[in-house]
Formats: sequence, structure tokens, C-alpha cells
Amino acid sequence: MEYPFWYVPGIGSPMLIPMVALPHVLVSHFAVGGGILLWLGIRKAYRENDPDFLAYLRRLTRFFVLLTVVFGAITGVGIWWTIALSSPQTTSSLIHAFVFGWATEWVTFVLELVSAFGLYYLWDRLNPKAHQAVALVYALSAWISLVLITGITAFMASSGKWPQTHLFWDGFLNPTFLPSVVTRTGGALALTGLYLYMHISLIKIAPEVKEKVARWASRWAVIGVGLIVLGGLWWYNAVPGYIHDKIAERPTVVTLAIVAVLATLVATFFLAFWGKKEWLVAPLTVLLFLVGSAGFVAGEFIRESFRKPYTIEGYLFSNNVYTTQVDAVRARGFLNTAKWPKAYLQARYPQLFTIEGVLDTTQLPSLTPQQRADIGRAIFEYHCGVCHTLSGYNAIFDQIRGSDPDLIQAIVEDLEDHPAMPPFVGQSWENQLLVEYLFQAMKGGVQ
Amino acid sequence: MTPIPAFDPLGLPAPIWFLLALKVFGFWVHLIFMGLWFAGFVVGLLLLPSNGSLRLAGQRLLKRIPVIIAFGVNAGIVPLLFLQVLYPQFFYTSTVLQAWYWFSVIVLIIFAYYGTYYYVHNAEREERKRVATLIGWLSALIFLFLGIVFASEMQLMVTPDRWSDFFRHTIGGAVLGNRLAFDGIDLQRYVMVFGLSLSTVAAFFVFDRHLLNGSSEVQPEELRTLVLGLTFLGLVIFGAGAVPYLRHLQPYLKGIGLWKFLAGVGPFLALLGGVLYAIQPATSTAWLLVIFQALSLLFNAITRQIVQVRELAQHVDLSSLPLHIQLSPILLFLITFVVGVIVTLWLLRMYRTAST
Repeated sequence: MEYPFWYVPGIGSPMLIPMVALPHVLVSHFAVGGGILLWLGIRKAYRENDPDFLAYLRRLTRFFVLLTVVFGAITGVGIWWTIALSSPQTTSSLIHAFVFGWATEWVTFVLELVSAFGLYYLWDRLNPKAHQAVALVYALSAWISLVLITGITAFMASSGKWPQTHLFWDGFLNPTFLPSVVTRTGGALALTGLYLYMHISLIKIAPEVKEKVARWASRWAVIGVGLIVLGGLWWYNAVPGYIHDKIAERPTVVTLAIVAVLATLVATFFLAFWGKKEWLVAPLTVLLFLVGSAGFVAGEFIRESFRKPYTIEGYLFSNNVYTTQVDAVRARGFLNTAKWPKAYLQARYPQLFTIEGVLDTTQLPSLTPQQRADIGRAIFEYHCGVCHTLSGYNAIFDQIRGSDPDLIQAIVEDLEDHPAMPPFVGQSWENQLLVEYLFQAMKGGVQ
Repeated sequence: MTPIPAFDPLGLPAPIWFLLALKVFGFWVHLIFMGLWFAGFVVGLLLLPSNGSLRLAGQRLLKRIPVIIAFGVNAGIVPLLFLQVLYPQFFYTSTVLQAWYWFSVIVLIIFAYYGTYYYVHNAEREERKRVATLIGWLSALIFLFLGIVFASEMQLMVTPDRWSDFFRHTIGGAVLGNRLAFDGIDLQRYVMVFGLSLSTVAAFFVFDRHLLNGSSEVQPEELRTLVLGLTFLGLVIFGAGAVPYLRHLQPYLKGIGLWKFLAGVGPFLALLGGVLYAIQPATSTAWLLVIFQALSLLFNAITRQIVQVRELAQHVDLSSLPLHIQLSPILLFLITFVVGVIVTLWLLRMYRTAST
């Protein structure tokens, strides 16, 4: 209601978020899982006095550092960049609620960098004790970073008591915080384990090292998948009821996530206890890695999309209307409240506005169909554009095709009856202009 | 007249002075690192065709650029974080109005960052030298371009009266975000930062040679001309931006003569450090240059903050905003920060032992 909306043709600006966020989430979980496994691996290598295993871990470190310090770090900032561009109001709420959570996470990220570069540049020069200490700092700081960010991301889908209290800890320690930490920690271990399978199947490596890495990685991958299952069930019990309804409505993606997790579990379990190194061939390990990643992406999709109609549960709807604001906006009308579409119309159709700057509906009949469509488009972009495009991603045309305009208008009137939709906060004439525009646009009548 | 969004209903989570202090601190640290890739990358590449100490000094800087970028980007998070707390209504709006350029920052940084790694790892391999140099230059140019985007954003943010120009380019009132706000004033800001960065590069060279146990093959006698030249050029370029920019800022500078003076004197201090080092290239004069440059950047960071608050004061009175202090999260942050500093120092000590 307060900010301008960025129009991105075909996909809508919010779809840029997953484009940045999904690679980041995968990479950042690598950072956490890789951090933990590197520390455990370095300890094991020194304990068993195994220089070959240590040399393997060094190769791994170069990859983790290059991937996490560069790609992970920049895409991490990139998520923030992108959500602020596509949903500034939500970003502002998150920043004002959790800025010191983020600031704390920043400190852990500095530690992650300092320790990662230590491992990268001084691997050969650190004595065993120092080497393990640096690896421990890397693992701990990466994991604490995960914990802190999870508090904020879990909050968006299950805000707990926060909408009433607005207290930091009520939001941070929300109902799905701990289950999400368990799931994500498991995901980090499992993904890294799967990556290790793939890595040792693709590079030239001594058979005994391959065997050792495979068995070692398998155990941690099994523990990781176990944590995902445990955390996932816990999460399901902790999420608010509105998410249960949506899971029941869209079983495909949930099934995909469950199948991916189970397939990974079975495969890793099998490889951990009965597997032979000869089985770790590239096609199988790449497939396993892809299945695991698909499960991960599906999990993220569940978390993100099932949050609708909210961007922050119980506080802010996806159309940037605060839950407490709905009645007031309806009373004044959407275009009289949303600042930027109103400014747009005031500049183009000053005759529609009174001296006090209120949109005078009695002037509407004087408008041409093209002008009415223009107003309808403004309502569409600002009220619906956060999730829908006309004919691209999540196309509105697909929703209304074959329907009667009056029926669509009736559906829009009671939009909140649909579990994923926020309430329509416009007045009936705004609803009418919106629907008129959509049907005209679908027929190709307006640009 | 385009509208200015209302401030976030959640209010400020900490006293204004505390948020501003953290913002300035973060920006200062960011300025130190940022100068080294912003101007330093180009300087380092330009030094490569030279011989002896200058080439070596340039190579040593270039080798460190990936680490410098990592910490500089990280430090840049702090001022942006607190900027969003203090001025979300201005910051978010101006980024959306030039959205594609702002979004491109992320994509371009990734390319430039990996380009930097590629350069560092391949510049000395005979068979990849030419490609590496090309990629190195591309990365350096991308960083120079990113400075333009940042200068545009920071200036557009504090001038809401310009927003309407951008809001003309819409579809149904939704912003296309395909225009960049870069104009004369942005150029002045950009040039000032570039000038400051050149002095930072000079300070890095002496820091690396004298204080970081740099290569003894870098001869201070050869370095001093470079250091003097960079601090002098830094001052000239800073002045070329600052003089016209000050004219524009005149209404906001009343009553802050001291800070205006300190910000202006900063590059002169750096030049003084450069002159002293040129006269006697030694550890003591190296320290002086490093301290002078750090102070110069600090004065500029503080003055810029004061000016930003004043520019936006005509649109928002920070002291009138609701304040809901988040005491325990602030304590959590401060404790973590102290622990983080201690652990970092402990790690650096281990690294020093390992290096020697």
C-alpha cells in the first residue's frame, strides 16, 4: 500500500526471489554441512594419522570456500536485495522486527569468512590443534548463522504470538523455529553427504580414500536424512492450521518432497551399511544428488508458497495489506489508500479527484473504455501483481478463462474464501473495473 | 508529486544515535575495503607493465583482492541494514524506481568476483595470462560501474522530488525500473569516493610493505613516488568532485563547520602522510599515512551521515518516530560482537604464527 511496485514482464518481480534464493539456500546449506563435515573430517584425519584423507579434505575445502564465500555470500545479500525490490513492505517489517538478529548473524558471517580463508590459505601451515580449532570456528559460525536466519524465515509462516506482542523473541522463537532448525541441519548434512558421493565418483582418487570417504559421508548423510524426517514431522505438527489445509490441497509437491527424502534415506542407509565403493559411479551419485536437491527445493517451495495469503502470518497479507488494515482500506477504497497507483491516476486523470485528493466515483462514467481499463490495470498490478501475471507465471487468464465476468466479480468479492488468497480490499466499483480490465485484456482489447 | 511511503509501523528498534553510530561504523569499515577494489583493482592492473617494486606491489594488492572483496561486501551489509531501519521509505522506493540497475548489482558482483578469482589464479600462468588479464580488466570495470549504481541510488534516495521523473515510466502505475538516475551530482559523489579510494590504495601499499611483513623485494624508495602520486591524485580527484558537490550541499552544511572542515581536510591529511613517507619511507611514516587515511575516511563517513540526515529531515523527523527498544536483541548483538572480535583476534594470532 505504501511502495511502488516493480513490473517484470512474464514472471512478475516476486519470481526473481526464488531465482536468487533457491541457489543460495542450496549453497548456504552446503556451507553449514560442509563446515560440520570438514571439522569432523579434519579431526578424524588427525586422530587416525591419515594424510591422504586430509589431502582429500583440502580439495574439498577449496570448493566449499569458493562456492560459499563468493556465490553463497553474494546470493545471500541478493535475496535481501530482491525481496526489498519485489516486496519492500514485507522487507521493512522483517528488518524492523529482527534487525539485531540480522546484525548478530553478520558477526557470525565475519567469523565464517575469517575461518574459511584460514582453512583456504593456511591449510599446510596450521598445526593440527590450530587446524581443528579453525575448522570448529568455521563449522560453528556457519551453523549459528543457519539458526539465526531460520528464526526469521520460520517466523514468516508461523509468527506465533508476535502479531499481538511485536516482541523480538515471540517472533524469533516461533512455533516452527526448532523443527526448522532440526530439518535444516539435517538437510545440510544430507546434501553435503550426497555431494561427497558425487565428488568421489567424479574425481581421480585412491580406492582406499574413496572407500573411507564413502563410509564416513554415508553415516552423516543418514543422520542428516534422519533429522529431516524428525524435523519435518515436528514441523508439520507445529505449523498453523491454515498450512495443513494447503498441504492437503496440493499433495503433489508434498509427495515429491517425501519421496525425495525417503529415496535419499534408503539410498544413503544402504550405501552406509552395505554399500561397496564400486557402486559409487557417477550416474548413480549424480542422480542421488539431484533427487536430494529436488527434495530440498520442494521443501523450500512448501515453506514459501504455503505461507500465502500472508507474507508474515497473521500480520501482513501478500498484497501488502496489514491484517488490521482490511476494514479501513475497504471503507476508503483501494485506490484512495494505495499511494502509488493513486499518484499514477492523479497524474493521468486529475478530473477524477476532488480538491481533497479523493477519487470521486461519480466521474467514472465519463471515462472511455480504454481509460477504465487503465484504472483496472493499476488495481491489478498493485493488488494482484505480487503473485499473478496476466498470461505468464501464475497467470490470471488461466484462472478466469471460460468464466463469466459476474462470477469472477463475485469470487473477487469474497476472495478470502480461497485459502491462498488475501482479501480483496477494494470497493465494488474497483472490483468491477478490475474484472472489466482482465476480460478485455484476455480478449486482446487493451495493451 | 510522487508520494513518500509512511514509516514502518513497527517503529525504531533502538535509539537513533545508536543506529546511526552502527551505520557510520559499518560504512567506514566498508569504505576502507571498498576503496581497495574500486580504485585498487585498476591501479594494480596499471602497475603490471612496470618493473621492479611497483609491479610487485601491484601484484601483491591484486592477489589480496578476493579476500578484500569478501570482507568489504560483508562490511557493506552493516550500513545498508541500518539504512533500511532508519529510512526504509526512501531507500526502498528509490531502489524500486531504478530496479533493474539495482538488481544487476548482485549479478554483476558475482561475475566480477569470480572474475577476480580467475585472474588471481591464472595471471601468472603463461598460457592463460592474456585471458586472465582481460577478465581482470572486465572485473575491474564492473566494479567501477557498480560504483555508479550505488552513487545514483544514494543520491536518488535523498531527493524524492526527482522520483516523479522515474514514475512516468510505468505500466498501469507499476514501475518499469529501467532508468538509472545518474546525473551531474551523482558523478560528483562518485568522483569524490574514487579520489578517497586512491589514497586508500596508497595507504595499502605502505601498510603491506611495512606493517604486514610484505615482500622485502618491494623497495620503499621506489614505492614512495607511487604513494605520493596516489595521495596527490586522490586529493585532486576528490576536490574535483567535492567543490561542486559542496555548492549543491550548501543548505545542509550550516552549523556543521567542524565536520565540513574535517571531511575536506581528510584527503590533505592523506597527502601529508604521502609527503612524509616520500621524504622518509619508513615504518613510522607508513603508520602515519595509514592512520591519516583511516581518519580521512572516518571524517567523510560521519559528515556524509550528517548531511544525509539533514537532507531527509525536510521529509521526516527521525525524533518523532515511534521507538520500541529491543533491549535483549541489542545485548545479544553486542555480546556476539565482542565475542566475534575476540575470536577473530585469536584466529588472526594463530594465522600469524602459522605464516611465520
